Amino acid sequence: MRVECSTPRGVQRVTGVAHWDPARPDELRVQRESEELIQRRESVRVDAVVPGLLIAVEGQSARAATTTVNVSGTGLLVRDPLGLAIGERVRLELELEAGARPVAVEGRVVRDAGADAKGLQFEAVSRGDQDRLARFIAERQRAELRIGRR
Amino acid sequence: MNPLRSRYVTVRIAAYDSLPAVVESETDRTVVLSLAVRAP
Repeated sequence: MRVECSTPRGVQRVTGVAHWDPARPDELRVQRESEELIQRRESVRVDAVVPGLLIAVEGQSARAATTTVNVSGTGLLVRDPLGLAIGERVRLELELEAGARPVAVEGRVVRDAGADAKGLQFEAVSRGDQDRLARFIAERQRAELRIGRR
Repeated sequence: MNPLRSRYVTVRIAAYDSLPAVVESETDRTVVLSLAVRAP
């Protein structure tokens, strides 16, 4: 079996043998056998309209309110009111939870998806914000699975 | 072995759906996961 988590650089994957004890049904103990970091995008990407503030890091530091189209642990697709260029560095503050401190990610524009949408690849996310993003994505994924099973 | 970079992970087991899980503890040899992931 495999245990995977998303990082700004890709997917960290631990492969091992799982041990499950009926006395502890919610717990899985994994004996680690190998580990790898997969650089290409293989992380889960969920459709999510998250409001946020998009800031161009270079030049005049233009900023504008925006929303995401989808989100993963390594990047996202975002509406771009600033007309960003491919390769431009940006900071994005995402309001994942109402009233909570925004999740801040820094990254680079890597794709022009048309219709004013740009693909961003993360380059710097704090460990705490990475955890909050991963939790958000996992919950969205669970919700999508629940809907798919109905 | 490097520590997992997030507490929130995906478990992939052949013939099952992928499952969200939380890392409860880990060492170089073992990772203990909780499958009882609660909504935030």
